[in-house]
Amino acid sequence: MFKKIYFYFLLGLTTEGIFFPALSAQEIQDTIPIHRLNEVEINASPLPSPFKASAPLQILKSSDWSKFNTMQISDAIQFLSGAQVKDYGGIGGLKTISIRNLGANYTNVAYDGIAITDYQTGQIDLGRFFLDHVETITFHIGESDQILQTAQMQSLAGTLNIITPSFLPGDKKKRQLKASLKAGSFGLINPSVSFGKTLNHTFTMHVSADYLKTDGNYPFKQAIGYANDSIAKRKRNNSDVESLKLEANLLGKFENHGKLRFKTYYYRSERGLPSAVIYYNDYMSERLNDRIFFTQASYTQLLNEKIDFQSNAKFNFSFTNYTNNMYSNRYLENLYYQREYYLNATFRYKFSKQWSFSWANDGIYGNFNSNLPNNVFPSRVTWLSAFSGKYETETYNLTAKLLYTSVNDYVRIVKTPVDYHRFSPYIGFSICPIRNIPFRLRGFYKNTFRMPTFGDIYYSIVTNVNLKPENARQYNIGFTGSTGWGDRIPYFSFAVDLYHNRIENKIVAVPVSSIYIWSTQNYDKVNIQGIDMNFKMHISTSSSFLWKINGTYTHQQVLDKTPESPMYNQQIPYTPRHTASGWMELETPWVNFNYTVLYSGKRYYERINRPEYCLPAFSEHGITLSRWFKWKDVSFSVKAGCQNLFNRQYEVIRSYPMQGRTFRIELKIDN
Amino acid sequence: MKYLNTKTVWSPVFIRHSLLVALMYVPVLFSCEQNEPSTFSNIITPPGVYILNQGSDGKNNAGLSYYSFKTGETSFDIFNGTLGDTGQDMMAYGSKLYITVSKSSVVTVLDLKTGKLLKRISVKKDEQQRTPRYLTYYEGNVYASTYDGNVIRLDTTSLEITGVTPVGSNPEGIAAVNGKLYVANSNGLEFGNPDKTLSVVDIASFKETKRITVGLNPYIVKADPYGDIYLTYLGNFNDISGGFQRVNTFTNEVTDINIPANQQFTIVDDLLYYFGITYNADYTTNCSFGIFNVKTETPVTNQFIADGTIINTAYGIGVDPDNKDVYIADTNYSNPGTVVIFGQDGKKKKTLNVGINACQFIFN
Repeated sequence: MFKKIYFYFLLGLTTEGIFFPALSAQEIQDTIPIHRLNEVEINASPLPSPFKASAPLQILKSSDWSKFNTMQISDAIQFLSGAQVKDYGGIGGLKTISIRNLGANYTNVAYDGIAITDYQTGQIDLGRFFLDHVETITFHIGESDQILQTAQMQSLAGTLNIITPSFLPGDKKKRQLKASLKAGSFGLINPSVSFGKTLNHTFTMHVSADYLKTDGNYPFKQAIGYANDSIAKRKRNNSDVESLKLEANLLGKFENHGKLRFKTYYYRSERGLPSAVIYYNDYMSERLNDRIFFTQASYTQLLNEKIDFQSNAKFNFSFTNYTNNMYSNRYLENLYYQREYYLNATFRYKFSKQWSFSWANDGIYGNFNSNLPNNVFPSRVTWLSAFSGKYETETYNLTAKLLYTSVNDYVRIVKTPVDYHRFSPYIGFSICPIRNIPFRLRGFYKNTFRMPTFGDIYYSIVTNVNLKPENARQYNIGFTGSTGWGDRIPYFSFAVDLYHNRIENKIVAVPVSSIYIWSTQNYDKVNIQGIDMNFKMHISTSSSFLWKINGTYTHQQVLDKTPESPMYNQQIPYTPRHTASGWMELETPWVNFNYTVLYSGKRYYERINRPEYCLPAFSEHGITLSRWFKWKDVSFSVKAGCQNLFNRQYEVIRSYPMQGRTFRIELKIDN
Repeated sequence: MKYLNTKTVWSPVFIRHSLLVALMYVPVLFSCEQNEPSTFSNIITPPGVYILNQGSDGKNNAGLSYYSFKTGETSFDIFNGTLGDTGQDMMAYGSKLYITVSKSSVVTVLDLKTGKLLKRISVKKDEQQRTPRYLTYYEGNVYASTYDGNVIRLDTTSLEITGVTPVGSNPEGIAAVNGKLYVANSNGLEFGNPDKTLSVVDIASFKETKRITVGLNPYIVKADPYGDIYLTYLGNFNDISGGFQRVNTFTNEVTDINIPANQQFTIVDDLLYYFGITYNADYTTNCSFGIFNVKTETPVTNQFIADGTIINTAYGIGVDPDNKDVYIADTNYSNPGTVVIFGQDGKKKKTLNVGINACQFIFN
């Protein structure tokens, strides 16, 4: 078992990441037209309509979470249905998002439309993304109806796109300064500042800096034994985080209808890696030191009335230093380096008002290096080509896409590397069956796959280069509507989706002689069926009181269908049958009140559903009070909140206790 | 006070909506269910066998099953989930049962007859874990290899650590013969660079006296009744495969033995029961089971299982000293495994359902 320690980080920090890479899975419909958050923040490209979308689309805006007591993106996306967040606890703990239990490797996490990748684990830690300086989060399950996008954005089972604010020339204000300071329990301090300026008629710039520090050592209670024989009062240790994020944006809007967005991002963190809390042993010694740098550019140009094109380019470099001072006489240090070069060009042809087609081509080169003794210097060349067609009227919305993928791996040492080609289709519709009634039926089918990561293929102890990609098929059928009833309930919307997913050739780490000597194999079959429901409602109880209520509910069955397996028909680990979330906002003239709740039913943490291996259901409640003032041109806002109000002691992942009651205050100045 | 209209706030409509809103969340408030306490038979009815279940990494679910020959029942975990993380080795000595719980860094001591917990000995250097691995005993003391590169000595009466002595890196198996301890130095934490030595520790002075070169990545070390040490080594999982060796403790001569043993084994009287694992080209595995006679130093059989019973991934082997039944643990890695009981003829007698990664057997 201990020989595996090396590979913790390499394969996703935890064993769950290794053994159930695709087994980890929640949404909110929004038909409100995009509104301007304030005079300077508008979107570079208009957001698609969740109401007309053929596949479930949810949008969260900064106006939503500005009243929450949330800080990390992973906190906010828990209120989306169909998104399951695996949270290892604390600010520094790993947080990944899985779409309808397909696994974190099936989720594209994109920053301003360009995917973030990880060649090592294929999973993106959302813990490092903070909500300051984010304007919108769009969450697509299946596929976006947008066809002017990169081919890579179509390559997985769904997309979480993080959109940062645009400060465009032409805005009334010439400059903008924002500053905020958060402070909270467990030594949290998080100052943040951003500055935007119009440079000339063509260019604007926007820079931001965020610093965060917390000791993170929260107290928790651990129940010992299956029958909770005793309760140990303990304290998380080695959970400290110190991070710095710098970002610079240059936006251009040219007279020839060209738009440029150029971004440079730098992040560094130094943190303890809080590992599983082990009975009778408090010692923790794993530390992580990250540096991520990327620079990306996106250029959109209208060529003529019928044709427009977009080109995206990116360079990414990331460095990770993992250390483990396991014993006084043994210090372990692993270094990991990843580089990626990315180039895309997409052409869109508007055949008529209703018909449009696009052709997207992406070329990606990524490589990986480390000081591991079994390093094979793998690199991967991926070519993606997507042909999309769309037919759109007020009544009908039909989208069809076909993606071609070619993957070639090159390794300096060993055997025959991966050489892989494949077509993957998408087809989706949304129909308004009765004219003038805001009710739509929708459905989609998507076939997608995930490539084994470098960790899967080249860094298991017994390497398996014959590993095949995992195959996933998604089927979805649903309906959505929106209405309002007079002044009392000015707005009501809902969406219900039934889905069925099938995974084949699931990549699983299998022990070959003892649990620390394993190999990855295509092994398992998983069937997922579920229902996602959500609603949004505004209630006005008087001219000055407005209630906003949002709720989501998911029921799902995620079953192991591996033939002849002793686990056949068992619910996959960490997949609750019932999950729900909700938030309620009361706007009053004096103060805004916000209440949030998350609920998760019981789950199993092992592949066999024995009662001993059950994690109890939990619900977590939070309240936030906020208000803003204006003095001359400057607006101030004050926010105070409490998370986990009832100090519920729970775990999302076995042996990773979550924070109890947490307080946070925030001051914001906006000029 | 333009907005403060008490009439509005307390209007029936307002109250009704507020109540509706509150009601929506009520199910959530009441859904904070707890796990129902599981009930298991924790009564030990000897004779029977203790089966140590290693559990899954980081899940705190190591456990101890007990199969009673008298009642025919198998309890899932007599510790009911409180043993800790990573049960590694188990040994009976005198009236006590010793268990190393590696990741929890404790040695748990039970009464062998009743299964009652006597003490949980914390194996730490200040607050730092030592990670106990394998156990042996010699003249009133229990010795355990610890992954921080030491051997610790435990007094069997006071159940206190009475000494620590350094050996090689990440020691695994340990055996005691003629006043000496033989400890397998694996250097297993440094993947790709395993050690290949046995440390010899003089028990009287409790000091390492020499190192003997053996196969790459030595693993389990056990002594036979004739002054020999047998050991398995794991190789590097790449071009150097594992194997089986004998060390003559008088001459320190190392002999390769060509049988398919490379994992756990157990010695009962003159017979050594082993299993070995080899990889196929398609990355699946083969398990072999056999018996070796340590008196005549010749193989008895390389094909112990006679009735075609399939063991997917063997994880531990134990032999009942009375009727010589052979217990083979089969694991499926993350789900509770099985233990298949074979007679001396190699034919299956019974299958037990036990915890995750059953690995050690002690008969009482």
